Amino acid sequence: MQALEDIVKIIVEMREDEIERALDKAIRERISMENIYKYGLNKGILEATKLYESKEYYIPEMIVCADTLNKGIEYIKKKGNIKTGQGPTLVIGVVEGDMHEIGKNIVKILMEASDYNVIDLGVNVKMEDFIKTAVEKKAKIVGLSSMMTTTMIHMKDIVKAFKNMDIDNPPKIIIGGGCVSQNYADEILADGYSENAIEAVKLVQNLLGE
Amino acid sequence: MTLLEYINSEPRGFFLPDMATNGLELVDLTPYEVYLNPENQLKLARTMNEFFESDFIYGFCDGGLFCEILGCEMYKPDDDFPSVMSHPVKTIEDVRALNVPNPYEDIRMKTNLETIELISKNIDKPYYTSIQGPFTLAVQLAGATHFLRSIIKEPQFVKELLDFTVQVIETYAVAAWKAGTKYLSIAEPAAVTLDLHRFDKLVVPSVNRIFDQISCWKGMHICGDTTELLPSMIKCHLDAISLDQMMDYNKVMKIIPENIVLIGNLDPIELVGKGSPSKIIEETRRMKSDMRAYNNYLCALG
Repeated sequence: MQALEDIVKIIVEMREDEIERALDKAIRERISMENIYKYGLNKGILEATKLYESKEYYIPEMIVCADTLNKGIEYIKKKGNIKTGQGPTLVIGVVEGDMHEIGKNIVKILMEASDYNVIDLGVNVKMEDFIKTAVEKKAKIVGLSSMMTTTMIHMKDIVKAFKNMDIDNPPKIIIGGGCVSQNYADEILADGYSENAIEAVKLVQNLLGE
Repeated sequence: MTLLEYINSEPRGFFLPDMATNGLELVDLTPYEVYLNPENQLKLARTMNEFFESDFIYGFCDGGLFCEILGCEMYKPDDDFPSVMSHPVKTIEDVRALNVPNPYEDIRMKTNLETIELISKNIDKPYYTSIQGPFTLAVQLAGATHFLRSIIKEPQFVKELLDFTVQVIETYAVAAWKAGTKYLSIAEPAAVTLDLHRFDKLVVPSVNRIFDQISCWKGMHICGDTTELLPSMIKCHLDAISLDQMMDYNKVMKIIPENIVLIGNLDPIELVGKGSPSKIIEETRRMKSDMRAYNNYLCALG
């Protein structure tokens, strides 16, 4: 349908100012909210992700595509009942003492594009907050990020704390960031490591058997 | 003498280990006890020179200096570098309200200049200092997501903020050079988020504006995978390039011009942080053996 194709195009081309008008058009054509989200908004960010993977788009483009998507989601939420992020829940954050946000933010964009329910705890996150949120929200995955050698050590404590918890279906713990590696993930008994955001999505899909 | 001539002035192979926060433990001081006291900086430099002897001398790295002075809230642990917690510059008006700090008046900068003079006079080795680059400073002031978004949505904000950060760094770099810095390296870790075209537009001219004002040895360091950016890094008016440990120096060296020194890239975490002494010796020997054919290689950490 042309209205849905327009939404996809607007997200890919980062035309944030036009997204509400395009959504109004789709609503007027009586396309269901579910289809507007699935075949318009979500398809748009997936198309943008493909361009990022093929290095036609870089981080600035992905941020603005995500801005356009988020503006669209907020708008249709006002217009009707819409469910986003219906996949498994992921809790992500940058460990305590570390303020580097960008890697984590890109992971968030790509995970949301894959329809995961992402709970972003932000930067400088204490171990207790990762645990509390993951348990409360029944997270399937906890993603830890660190860019500093002096903060990556917190990952070990967090992994250990999760492994020692007596709960059904404990979350898998994955790590990423400039100073960590597969070796480090193995050393601290994390369930996975990824070098970049694209690989992080594949890692989560593998861990969840998707 | 050029940097290239210096590292070839003896046949043994020169070494530049920036051992970061290790010095704090050796002298039992916190970062700010060091930053705010040139005598403590000298004590740390001397101690580092004894424990980790190098062909250069350096003070305790002050990478957060500009952010702190320009009003970012800083996280200040006792055993690590400070880091930025808030990003206060969000609009063009915010940029226009900023003032370029005078390095001879601002207490933090002034103290650093005294440190450079003191260490240079007391230890007879080329003084090395690493400072934040203009793109990375802009990213820190505005926040990474906001600044990268603004590259597309608000180019005038990006232009004005970068112009400001260049002025801040240029002013300080000139003062640091005049105070005795022999080798000044600009760290641009945030530039790894860019594609080649934007790197050419936003980083190369900004860095060159700074480099063109100073006459000491000039270098650039970028963390992460810089394979795509390397051809443009070479366009900067520099004497040396230093890259992340993830880069394969056997491949990198083939595209580095003979007059530019390639510095690095022993793994500071997996090797130096966790490896045994014998493993460190083995890897260092392997690296030096791989690079033996080139006279523009300087062994260092990545």
